[in-house]
Amino acid sequence: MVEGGSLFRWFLRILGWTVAAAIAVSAGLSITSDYLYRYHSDDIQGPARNFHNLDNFFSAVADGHGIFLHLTGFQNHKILAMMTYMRAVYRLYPLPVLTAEPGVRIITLDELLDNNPDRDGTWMIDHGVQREISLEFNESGEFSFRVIPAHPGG
Amino acid sequence: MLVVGYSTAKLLLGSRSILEKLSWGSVLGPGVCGLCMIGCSLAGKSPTRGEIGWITAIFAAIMMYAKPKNRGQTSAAAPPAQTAPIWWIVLCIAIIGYGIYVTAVDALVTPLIEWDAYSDWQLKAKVLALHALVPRPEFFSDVRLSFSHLRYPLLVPMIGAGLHAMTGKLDDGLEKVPYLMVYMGLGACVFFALRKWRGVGLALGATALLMSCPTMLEYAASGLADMALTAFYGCAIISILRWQESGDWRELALASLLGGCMCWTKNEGVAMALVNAIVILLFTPRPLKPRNLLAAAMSALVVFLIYLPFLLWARGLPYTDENYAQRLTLSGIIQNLPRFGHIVTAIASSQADWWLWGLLWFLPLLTAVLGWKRLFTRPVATLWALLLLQLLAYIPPYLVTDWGDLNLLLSVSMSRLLMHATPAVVMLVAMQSPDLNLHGIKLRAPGSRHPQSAYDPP
Repeated sequence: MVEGGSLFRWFLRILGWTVAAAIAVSAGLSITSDYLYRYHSDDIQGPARNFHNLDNFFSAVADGHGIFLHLTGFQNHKILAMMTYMRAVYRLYPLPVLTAEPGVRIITLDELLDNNPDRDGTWMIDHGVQREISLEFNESGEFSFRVIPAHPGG
Repeated sequence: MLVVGYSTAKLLLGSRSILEKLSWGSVLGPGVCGLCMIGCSLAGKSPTRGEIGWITAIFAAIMMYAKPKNRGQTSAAAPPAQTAPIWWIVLCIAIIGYGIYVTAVDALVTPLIEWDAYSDWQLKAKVLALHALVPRPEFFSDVRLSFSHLRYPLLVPMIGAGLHAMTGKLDDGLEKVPYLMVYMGLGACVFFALRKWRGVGLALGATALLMSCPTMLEYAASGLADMALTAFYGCAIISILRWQESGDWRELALASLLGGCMCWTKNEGVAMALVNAIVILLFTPRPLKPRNLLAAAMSALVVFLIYLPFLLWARGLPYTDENYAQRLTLSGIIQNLPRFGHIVTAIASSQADWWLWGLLWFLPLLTAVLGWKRLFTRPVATLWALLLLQLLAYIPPYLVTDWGDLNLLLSVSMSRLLMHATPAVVMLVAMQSPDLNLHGIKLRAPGSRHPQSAYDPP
């Protein structure tokens, strides 16, 4: 039986329950969203696999040497090129990973690909790297690579 | 880091419980330890085990011998006696547990996959592990590495550098671990603060909201600087609210220290520290009283002095990226004002995206309506001011950006910027909400009522 004046208290309790329900629904939606993102999409596992492979690849082909990275076939996949370059720089640091002449700013995708011509052995030795990794992304979406040691005049 | 953070918390928090000081230590530790290592690095010494050992030993000595004066009850009234039913406690702890579990997996198992994490923050961690800041490493002048934002602040890289120094390996894969600690520390600090002000039920609910927020879970242990900035900012807000409540200068010192950490973490941290300074000045009780004016000025000065070495160190570094500081002119802003509506729409549509936030951004509006009487209390007004000023502060850089595709910039950065405000949002939800009263629809005996908190409306 609701006594006089206690209707207001009922009202307050309903407000409290409303807030609690809203918090619970929000947290439920949040966890659902995170769970789907984490365990029902490839948004984390996919990149994790790819970077694991890429890291091992760079460590193996650089083999303790600074590298000149020559990227070809990435004109339609510029983000992939940038990601690959940045990952190589991160993975191999403190070994140098070069794609361009000193003084060339690289922050946009075009700045990376427009300043990345093939270099000869003399250039590489002059710039303190010992091998070229020529990375090609072909039409069928596959990587191929060549490792070219730097020889003077080569 | 925990020892350094705990010692700092013990000095500045006085007689709080060990658990609460540990929580603050988890947030303060990486920040203070990082600042100490930056100091050594500016003196020409890159981080080493010995140096970190010395820093830890000094703080451990402080922890053992410092006897900060116990503060009395900072609130004139007793804390609220509101309790919560067991099912609510279990539900909230389960939600928080999920957050901690997935963040721990990210920190300990998942490799570094975020673009900015490996191209910027953690790449520089490797640089700083090998080179002192003075003489300035060649890395920061090599414009071929402009993609790593050569002029960005260095606290997060220095934290990573310290870890690499401790393990002796650059590829130890541990660079994300401190942010698991920071994530849990932030949650616990928010819980302890809100428990005192609003009782355990609302405190747990708000903490669960914060720690389950999808954007927070995505970035907490991703190796980016956003978790650290969010935690420093969240804890600075708590300190400001406590300072308003108690007038204790140590709370303001803590807010200032955290403000300095924010500036050293991200450029956005400078804007947030400025917002804090404005709020400290405007929302202090009796703002025109000389003592309070002096306190606000001292707080701003401390933040500036902590940040000053970075400004001096970064002089002469090449400007190769957005350079918002130079673009943020009145004429630049006025010229690009037509973008304003588009940016506000983008912010609102991001906030409405349940996939990113659940109902987080909807709850302050709901609780403002349901608990409207609390809107006029000082802490709620302070939190609204902080939130609105912060959102406003994030608009001008979008106005003047030189990114060709504004939509692309908004889509890649908006969620992380909004994440910085999440502690203010959940505190706002808890502070202005009506009492939960979840013990069933049962009427209280006439005449009985909960003891009032200092933050209860009159």
